[in-house]
Amino acid sequence: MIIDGLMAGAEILAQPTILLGVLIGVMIGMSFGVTPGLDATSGTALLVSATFALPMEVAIGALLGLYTAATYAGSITAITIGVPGTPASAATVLDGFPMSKAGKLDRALSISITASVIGGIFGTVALVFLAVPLAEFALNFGAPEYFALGLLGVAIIASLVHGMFLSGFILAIFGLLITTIGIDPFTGYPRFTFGNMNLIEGVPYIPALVGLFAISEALSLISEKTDRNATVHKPKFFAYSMGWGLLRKIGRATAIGSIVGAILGAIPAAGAAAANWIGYNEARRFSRHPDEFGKGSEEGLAAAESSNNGTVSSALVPLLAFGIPGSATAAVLLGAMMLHGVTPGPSLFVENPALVYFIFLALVIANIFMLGFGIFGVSFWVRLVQLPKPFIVMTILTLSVVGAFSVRNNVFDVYVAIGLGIFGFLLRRAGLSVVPIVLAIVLGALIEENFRRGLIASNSGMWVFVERPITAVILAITVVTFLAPLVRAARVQLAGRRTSKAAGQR
Amino acid sequence: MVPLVHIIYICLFAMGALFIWMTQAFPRPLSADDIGPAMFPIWLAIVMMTLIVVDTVISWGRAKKVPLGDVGLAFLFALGMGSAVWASSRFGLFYVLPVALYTGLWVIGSRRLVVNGIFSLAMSVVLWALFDQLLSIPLSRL
Repeated sequence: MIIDGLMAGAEILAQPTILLGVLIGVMIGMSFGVTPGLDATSGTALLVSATFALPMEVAIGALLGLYTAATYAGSITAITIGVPGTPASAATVLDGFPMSKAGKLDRALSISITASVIGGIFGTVALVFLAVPLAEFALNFGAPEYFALGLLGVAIIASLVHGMFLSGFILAIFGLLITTIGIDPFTGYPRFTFGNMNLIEGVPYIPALVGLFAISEALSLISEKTDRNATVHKPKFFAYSMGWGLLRKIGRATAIGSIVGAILGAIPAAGAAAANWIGYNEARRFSRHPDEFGKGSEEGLAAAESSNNGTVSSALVPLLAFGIPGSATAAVLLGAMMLHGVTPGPSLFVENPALVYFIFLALVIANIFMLGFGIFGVSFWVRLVQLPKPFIVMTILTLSVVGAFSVRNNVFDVYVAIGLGIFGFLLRRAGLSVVPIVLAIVLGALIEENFRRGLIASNSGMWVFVERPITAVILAITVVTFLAPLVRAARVQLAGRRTSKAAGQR
Repeated sequence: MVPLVHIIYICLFAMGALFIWMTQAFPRPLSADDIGPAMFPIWLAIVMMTLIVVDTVISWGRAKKVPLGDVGLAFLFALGMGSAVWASSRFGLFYVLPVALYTGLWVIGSRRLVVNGIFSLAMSVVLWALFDQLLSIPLSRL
């Protein structure tokens, strides 16, 4: 079945316009990834609008190319100036930058691209072997299971937000509340629209994503006081210096990083940033030279890069198998796919299997294009690192306005994006995250509709969510996820009391 | 220095209360098995307001204090951006955009007369060519 699917997917991908779409997506992703302040999520949100007029496969190919390349390209900034281009490259700085300072810039960039591509392709293989059986299993799911899954997806992401103990949950519920604006799907009654016809269809989610990710990021750059005029180590046009010996040297670390990335990517909310650190630490634990880590270790760099790119494809496992995005970028991709009339989930494997396998293959091709750009012309992308901040900010803001407008050709959507952009900026300044809101906005309708559909179809009231074993298990995990921050809060307060008691006794 | 989280929480609490109040006008459920259009938002608002109170108590002292000046410039910039969008809906995007870009660059700190001008014009032309002409998105209606 997998072979047939791959053949059908390859037939779609073989079209020149689709390959060109992936290529352009990779190029834009490289540009976004190397630019400090832009990452795969904000880049994908900004590009969605430019893909409206394109055929669905070209659009999805371009977005996947962008996602893949932007996650890798953050490492170029990390290695050349010592500042991670994206949060997913934070651990890359530890060994990548010392290598470039020691005059091994070309070697560092070669390791980075090779490990990223290996990690990326390994993650795609994991995606194929995890998503296909999970989707088959999920075909048995009904409305109660989907309600529980949606709730769990939001709860996991909300529980990982730092800052105040319950802020993640509060923001997630705020996001769910926003999705109740607009026509009620069961009675047709317009809820919380304040008589504004623009809100009849609800808060438009692509403008909301553009505001929360891109505009808030641009406003944060404006208020940032850090000086980005750091010294940039410039590589040669052809900087690739990977030989068999070096490949053997980084082999074990790359394998560890790839496995860690593939596993963590498939777990909702774990994400590339966490994989980057965990892959790095695991490689150090199994290394014969752990003392070299942090001082320009080639193994350390390989582990960090293979792990973050290993998450790129496997992060699509929950999205494709259940229709539930496991990360912020997957949430944006879900929004983009739905705009093009594609609803990810188990039924997609039955109704349009060729498209699913096209997605798998497009991720592999994106990695191959990325390898080309990593081998030839890294020097070009490094120039983007030096772009002055005002030009980056104005480019993001202009693309955001155009992107928000393009969805429905409606100025109201631009005001929605700006409003949520200001709100997202305030959240960032307060040390909170916009991700729970985004996930709740994307999943809100699914949660409410499946909750009410489950109730109506069951005739047994709320018991339907306890009677069905899968639903009960998922809801139990959701409750545990919700209680985790409360337990953390109790522990911190207990520790605080003990410390003050001990200080008082002294 | 202001504890921004608490200000955000007050706004969210007020929004929750407003949503609950507005549901009074919502119709009843169509069937005995459905909860109707009002119940889901009411539950969400109640849980959100309760969590805000609980979090304020258990996280007291953890709120990050932010200098107002840091927030002010970005906030004013966003308002300027909104005004530019309003102006472009009145006079046309491609008349307003170059001026808005030039002003924006100047305000954020790029004081290069010629480079700013070239960037503003080039960005406007690229947007017109790519979105308005190639992708048929009627930006001139913005």
